[in-house]
Amino acid sequence: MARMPNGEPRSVPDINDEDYDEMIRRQAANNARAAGEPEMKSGSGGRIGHPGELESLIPVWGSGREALADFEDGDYIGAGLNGALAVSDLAVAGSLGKGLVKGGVFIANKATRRAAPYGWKGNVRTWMGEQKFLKPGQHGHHWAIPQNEGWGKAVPDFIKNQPWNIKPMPSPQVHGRIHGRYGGQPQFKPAQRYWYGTPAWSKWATGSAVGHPAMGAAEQGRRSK
Amino acid sequence: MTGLPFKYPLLAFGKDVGGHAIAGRERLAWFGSDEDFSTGTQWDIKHDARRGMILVDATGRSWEVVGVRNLGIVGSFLGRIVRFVFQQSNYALEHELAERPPMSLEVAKVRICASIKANPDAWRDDEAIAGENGEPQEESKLLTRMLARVHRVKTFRGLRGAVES
Repeated sequence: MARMPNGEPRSVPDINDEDYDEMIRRQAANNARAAGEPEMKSGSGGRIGHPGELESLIPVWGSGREALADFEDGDYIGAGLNGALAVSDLAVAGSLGKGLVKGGVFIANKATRRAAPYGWKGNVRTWMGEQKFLKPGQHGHHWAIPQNEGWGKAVPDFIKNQPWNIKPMPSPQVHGRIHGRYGGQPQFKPAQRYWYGTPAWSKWATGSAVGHPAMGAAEQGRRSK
Repeated sequence: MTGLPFKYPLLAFGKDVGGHAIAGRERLAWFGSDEDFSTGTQWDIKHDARRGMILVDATGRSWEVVGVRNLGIVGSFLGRIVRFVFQQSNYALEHELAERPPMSLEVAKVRICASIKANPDAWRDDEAIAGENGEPQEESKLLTRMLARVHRVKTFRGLRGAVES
């Protein structure tokens, strides 16, 4: 049965009662946000409801709940976009988890007493081959922090010579063309450098990082209408 | 751990083990102290990488590792947790050694160069070859320069620097 905003049964029949209820629910949510109060988690009838602004930024959970709420509202485009964002979050989490399980961080033996315990040649590079991060003959590209170029020179080896910063390359030519002209071929264009020069998990993470605030702003715009 | 007879750094020629191993190929390793030699990683244990290793110390004395005993995980509590998460736990190892005839510096150099040539992946300077900071360099030239550095060395102690620089 349709109810008044304060929860009492509505005494007058109303053919638009469902639309009216939805409008009241959205208004209450907006009022709660404006007053800095937590949003009602569910409306009448066990609805999922939209997450609050901060909650919507929580990976997987925020976008997943937003997708379900959009679906309940009949906003199938919003549900699809938020669903894709949740999948993107999951892919990032999956890649990072897989990296951890594979031993995605190299830890030198402190007893080694080498001049460069995290040096690349004969050390981290050897280890990455042993762990099958790199195949025989395969190049590894320092994709986020350059190894010897510009600002990367100042970054300690134990940070930059790590599997998370190494993108296995399909060929030496591709690696060379990320940095410049190589083997008579021109340097890749920026989009190609991004595509070939960053790992999949980074691309997913970029999608999530851009998607969350963008979807949040879009959602905010829809609600304020 | 005390009682080991080595003068460091200790040069080691180990068998090639693991996923991309090639029979007969030797891998280079260096140990800088008793503690370094007496600890090994999960990977060393899994592949029994120490057994059969030929060791040469800074005076040219040589040994073969004929037996290895795992004495369990070592390290601080936090260090153990971190290493466990990244599957790189450190183990205390006890080695059984058999002394061999001393190895001359020239023989050691030849053996080191053979190992480097057989394991180009381990010694590849990927970014220099790709031209990260200047013109792309030829891999064969970089390797030749490295081998020349090894041949110029006059003492066992200098070998490590020539290989790792």
